[in-house]
Amino acid sequence: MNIKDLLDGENRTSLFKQDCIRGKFDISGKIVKGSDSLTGGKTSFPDSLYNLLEYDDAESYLKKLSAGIPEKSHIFTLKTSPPVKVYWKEEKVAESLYYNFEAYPLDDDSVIKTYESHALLFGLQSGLPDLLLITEANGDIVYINPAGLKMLNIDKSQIANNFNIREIITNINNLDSILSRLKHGHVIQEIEVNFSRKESEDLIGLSSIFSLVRNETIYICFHVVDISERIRNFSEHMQNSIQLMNINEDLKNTQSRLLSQEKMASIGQLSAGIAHELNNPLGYVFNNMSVLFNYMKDLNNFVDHVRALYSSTDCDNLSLSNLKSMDENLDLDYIFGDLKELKNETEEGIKKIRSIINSLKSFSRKDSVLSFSPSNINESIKDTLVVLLGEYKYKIKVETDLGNIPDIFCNGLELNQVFLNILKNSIDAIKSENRVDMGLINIKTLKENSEIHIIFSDDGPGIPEEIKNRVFEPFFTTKAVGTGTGLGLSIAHDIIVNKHGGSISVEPLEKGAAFHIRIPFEEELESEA
Amino acid sequence: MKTILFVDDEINILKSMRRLLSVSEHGFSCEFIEGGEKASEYLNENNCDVLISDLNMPGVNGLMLADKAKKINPDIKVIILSGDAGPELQQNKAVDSVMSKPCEINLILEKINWLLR
Repeated sequence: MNIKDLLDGENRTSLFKQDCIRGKFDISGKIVKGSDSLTGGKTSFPDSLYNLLEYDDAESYLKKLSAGIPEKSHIFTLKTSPPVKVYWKEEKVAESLYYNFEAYPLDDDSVIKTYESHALLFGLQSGLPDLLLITEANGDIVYINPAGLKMLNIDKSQIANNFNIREIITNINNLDSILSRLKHGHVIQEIEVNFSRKESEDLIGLSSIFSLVRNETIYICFHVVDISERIRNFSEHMQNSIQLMNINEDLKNTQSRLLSQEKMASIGQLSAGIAHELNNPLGYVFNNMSVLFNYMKDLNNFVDHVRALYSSTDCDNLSLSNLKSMDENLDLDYIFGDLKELKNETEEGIKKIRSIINSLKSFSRKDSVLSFSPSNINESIKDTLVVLLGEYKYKIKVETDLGNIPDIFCNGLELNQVFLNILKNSIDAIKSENRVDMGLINIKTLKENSEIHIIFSDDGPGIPEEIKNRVFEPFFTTKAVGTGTGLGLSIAHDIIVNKHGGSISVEPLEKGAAFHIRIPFEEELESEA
Repeated sequence: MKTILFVDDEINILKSMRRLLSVSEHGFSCEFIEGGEKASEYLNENNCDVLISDLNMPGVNGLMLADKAKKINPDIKVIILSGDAGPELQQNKAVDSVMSKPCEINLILEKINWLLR
């Protein structure tokens, strides 16, 4: 019996018949029927399981059977001489106390050890959708499974006549060295082996190659998965994925360009107002400096005269009265009086400039782009209002009702952007009404349980119910083309919802709209703060 | 003596302007008024030759004030001081000149003299 016969399946039944014992026993272990192909009928068949099996095995086996503990199979050693190790299976005879049994000797040298593995292997090689090819050590093909014959477009009859695998492998030059390596028990995995075939392109196969030993004969087994289609599609797939990667890259670029465009748009729109707010104090600081130099000139002049007088020898009454009239002409009393005011007003201007610049800085701190740190939302709102002052101060009154809220762990820079975007929208909405009276924006902050609740309400035109749910969508805008990117509120939504785990919504008011933002925070920070 | 009315909503600007004009040599009588509304009332009752006003002010802004001043006295010269002087401002009939802000007092005085020549 060689492996070829075995795999062909034709001799399978005789193989099993020849090599097995079978019979029938009852639950007490009494064998009522038995045939023995192993002993060739030379000796009589044992009348009890206790005489066939090792005593302990028989005892525990019968116990298990009577307890109804199912076991698929057993391995026992028969009390033959020499002892034979068998694979043992029983099946209960319906409505009786009898069991049919079958036992197959286990051959340690055999690749295929048991009935089940025979059956499995047979099913496997005939049902396997891949190519299974077995050669002798010299490469002569002894077996190709049905799927393999089809794949290679080979007739089964071809295999009989010294058909060597070298005739059909097209891409391996060092097959000999591979085969000799395999003889020593190596396994080669995932090697690409191509096979020529009639009237068709080569089969490109991903192969595992290993050796089998049966009856001291070495066989080489090729398991080949057909990847021809895959390889042919691969370049197409590659091209597709490169294209997709490019598209993805483009999208990312577009996204970051849009985000920076949105930032640039707001910087551009705000800079005029901020410049105006800086110009006013700069203007009067500048004017005051001119006046200060003028005063200094007068004071210098006077001091020069005083010094000339006390260094000269003729310090008489006339010189002193000259000095007095000079004092009066220069109006030094006025100068000294005004200097105080001038100093105060100039200081005020410089402080204003400094505060605007500080607020601007809180919008541009590079180091905090990604960082969360404890900060106070009220301060963020104040900074945002300073930056926006030039945008609203002539048209809108802004009232703030900033509650006593704790510092929370947040990204202050991003929250500034949220507040800026919402307030800018409100300001633009109110301005779009071209009304005579001043508009009104109210900002309220409060602590509710473990959330900071921020409400921005305005008395602008409001948001129509039908678009209420769309205002946070990217690119949704009601502003004229070119005036808004449509990203302001979607960025706000992203920052509040995705980055701070909060919520943002808009509610209509009798006149205008109210944006509600809720940002959760950890209570511990509050007690530390 | 020609009178000049300075209008701004920022009191410190007016104060610095007054200070500056008090140490400069010119020959004008200068008046300083905070905000467009008060200036508008002033123009109802007082005559002046030149109006120098800020553009952006709450309530009555520079342009509204210019319109009003020209209605009361078509000969009045109007200078608008503004940080952002767009073309629509230059073309406005009520405005004789637009100057960027902040502006040196000498340039303002030169402009006044030129407008009154």
